[in-house]
Amino acid sequence: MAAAACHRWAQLRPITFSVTANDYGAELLTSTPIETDASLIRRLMARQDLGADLLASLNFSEVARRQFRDIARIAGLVFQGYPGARKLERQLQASSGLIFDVLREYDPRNLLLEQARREVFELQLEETRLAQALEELETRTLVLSRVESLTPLSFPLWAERLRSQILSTESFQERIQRMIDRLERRAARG
Amino acid sequence: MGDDTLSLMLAGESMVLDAQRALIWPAQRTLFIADLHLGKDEVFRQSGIAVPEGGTLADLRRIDALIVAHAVERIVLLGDFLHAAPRGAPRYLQTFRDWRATHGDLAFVVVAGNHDRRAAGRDLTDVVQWQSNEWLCGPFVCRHLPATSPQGFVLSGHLHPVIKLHGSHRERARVPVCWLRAGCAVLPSFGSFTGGGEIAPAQDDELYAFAANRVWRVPRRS
Repeated sequence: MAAAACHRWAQLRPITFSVTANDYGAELLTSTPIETDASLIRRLMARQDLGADLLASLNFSEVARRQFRDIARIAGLVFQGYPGARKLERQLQASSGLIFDVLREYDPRNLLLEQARREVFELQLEETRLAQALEELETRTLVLSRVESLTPLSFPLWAERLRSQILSTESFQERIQRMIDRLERRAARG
Repeated sequence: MGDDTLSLMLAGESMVLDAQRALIWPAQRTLFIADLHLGKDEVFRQSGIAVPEGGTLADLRRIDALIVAHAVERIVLLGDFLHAAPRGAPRYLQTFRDWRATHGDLAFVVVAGNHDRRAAGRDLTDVVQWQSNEWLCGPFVCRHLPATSPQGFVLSGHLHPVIKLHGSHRERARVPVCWLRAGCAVLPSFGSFTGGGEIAPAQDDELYAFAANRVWRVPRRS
């Protein structure tokens, strides 16, 4: 749900989010200053076009790349040797991330890539349940509050930030520029 | 020159970094690249690991573009030219020969790297000029392994240097860099099917990042 909300938000302007979600809630974190109001939240949580937005949000996320790690191992693309057996020749080692990139570049219709996308869709996003949840949310009252510190329910999210995913509609160049600027500012501070 | 190149001075010579992860010495029309790992995809396939084709040819096309853009007459490859010693007659050797045949006037010097151990001086000797360990070229000492040398400024590869750039919160990007240390430059890996190792630069080192088709000077705390 967070991914879909992010995607919708990101359609309004190029922005990069760090997204964390658990059973109680979701956190969208960004360095761009943002304004929130009730109508925006309602729009992000709308049922309309849910499937399409979910799919679209997958295209620019790193989720599939992560899912690919398991797939690459099972398919024998990344082989680390049997327990106790001689180590594989070093020149045959490559990380699943590297293989994912190479496949996407030179073999975009590869079945294993397709499987990674499908697994993400089925395992991590259950579209029907999500639609039901959103439907129920529409009937509920929306309370928007600014909190001074972490609340009991938000604390686990903060603790789980290590597992967050990055969703972005900024170009790679814009993102690098932002990171370089950040270093620049830091260097200036000495 | 646009954003895709960046000028700098090395050992008193004016040099150019190209966003394609290459170093050019315009005065000598020389192109330095490191860690091409030619044929890596095919070596993987021979061992039953199904990675797609295309990388080898694409890398040669990138060299073509560099030759045209910088009027290059000599290429110096700083080690790890081939990914593994060829077994039988792999296709990438023929691909390379065909490519080489279209560049008759070009000098192609290879300083042998650890991946070239067995191939050095044995394979492709008619089309490339193998050098073992070190090769002197003006004020530069061309090597595979980074080091310092009393004979000049070292140009090297081997490490596939990469740094992590941090954005806000957990956002980060791993980008290949050219790592300038005192008396030694470590070039990024040129091959497209190569990973990278994160480096730990010292305070005075200079870093140039290659990302999003641009060369970026990485600001350091001074």
